[in-house]
Amino acid sequence: MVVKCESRVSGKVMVVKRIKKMPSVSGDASDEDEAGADQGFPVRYLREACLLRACNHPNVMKLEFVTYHEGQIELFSEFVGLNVEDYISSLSDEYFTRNKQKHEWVLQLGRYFMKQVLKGIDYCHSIGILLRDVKPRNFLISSDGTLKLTGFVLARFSLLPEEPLTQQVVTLSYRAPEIILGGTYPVYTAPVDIWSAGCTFAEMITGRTLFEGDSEIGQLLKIFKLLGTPSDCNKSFCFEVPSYIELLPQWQPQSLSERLEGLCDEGVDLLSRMLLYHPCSRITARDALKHPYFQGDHSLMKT
Amino acid sequence: RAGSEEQQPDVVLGPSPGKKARTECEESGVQVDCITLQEEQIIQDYYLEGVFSLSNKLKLPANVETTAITFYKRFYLYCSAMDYHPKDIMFTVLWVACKVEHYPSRYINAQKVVLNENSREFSFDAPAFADHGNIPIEHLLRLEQVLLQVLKYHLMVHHPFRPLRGFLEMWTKRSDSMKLA
Repeated sequence: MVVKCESRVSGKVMVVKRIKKMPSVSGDASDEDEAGADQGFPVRYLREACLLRACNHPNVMKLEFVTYHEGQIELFSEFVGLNVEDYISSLSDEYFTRNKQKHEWVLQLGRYFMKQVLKGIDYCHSIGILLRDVKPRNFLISSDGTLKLTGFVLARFSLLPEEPLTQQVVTLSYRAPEIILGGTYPVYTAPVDIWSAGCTFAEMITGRTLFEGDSEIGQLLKIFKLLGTPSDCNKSFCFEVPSYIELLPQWQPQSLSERLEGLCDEGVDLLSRMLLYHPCSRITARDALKHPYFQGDHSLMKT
Repeated sequence: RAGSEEQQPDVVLGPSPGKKARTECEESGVQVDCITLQEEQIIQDYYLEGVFSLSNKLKLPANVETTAITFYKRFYLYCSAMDYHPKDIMFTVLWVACKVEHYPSRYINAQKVVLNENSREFSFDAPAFADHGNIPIEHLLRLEQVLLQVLKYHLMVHHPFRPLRGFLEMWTKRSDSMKLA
């Protein structure tokens, strides 16, 4: 349950995420073998609180404090009203296609927000947090136009591909191909967040989800249809890929600039670097911030 | 609903046992012989050794052990050994450290921890942990609550192992590629 509240002491408006601890459900709610005993503070929320507490950056949601009393956990964080998903859906089609001036506006905003997304991701990666759930819904826009990252439920403190991680991360539409192809316990690390950020970027420009698959294989087909089926799979990915990939139709890569109408060449170049198949050759958040697309003065206060 | 500012553990959980005794004594006007700072240091150090030996006995990995020690030290920066008995805190810090470092990783071993001495196996959960530490389960969970409040949820401990490991990994990779070239 999420409630908005105002502090009596500081007058700050905050959001409270209130979690009622179920007596039988422990750490991860999906585990049935652990049910029964009281496990104290649930591990998943402990992890979320721990990671959010470790972050201190203007583009990352600030967790003010946590209370835990009589099986009820309350996470107090600053109040930010709008998320990017709502922002995109609030714009009509007109903004994305017909009206040139309005589209220009969308493009500028896209660049403005994307820069902040990458700043936030870069910060998280630099302190060793893997977000694993980057999507428009988890980006909040505050009233002064600052974008903040949230959604640390799936995040994890580890960037080294030291142990197999679970496949069930990242909303399907934003899931990187190495997670889909990696089998039950794929090995992946920071570049998965960049892939998701790239998908978000395209969504902010076009108003539509870039790859909208209904299943894992459908998602893969959508990706290959736009970016082309990799000819030499083991070379394109850094690991063994399942053999069924050879049975998939061979598509030629399509031009991204056609898909993202109106986006300048630098923007298309950045996006194509964010959507590379090989995780190691994918651009890092830090390099992306140095990309020519973000150079120069792009403040929104021009007019 | 109006929110409240960050609550001290006292507000939420009531005064600690030590504090309760202290106020009782003050009210009744009895002079109490408290332990000195040096004595407290000795007690803390003694039980700190206990954290080491316990984690060795449970075969906990180094990152859990060191996180637990950090929690222990941080905890006694705020609280006194007279407030909370270090023996109980010893188990609590290990328990919370296991949770924070997500050990045992549920994808590798099926969260079974083998005790060496009588090769007793237990699944890693609160009752088993409390049983091993010989403290009642409610006590463990209550102390967990206290510990989290006292630490103010600053649970991330940056150990030197991780960068070291990353460095070594990079190093081996580089030497491998040099060999290939």
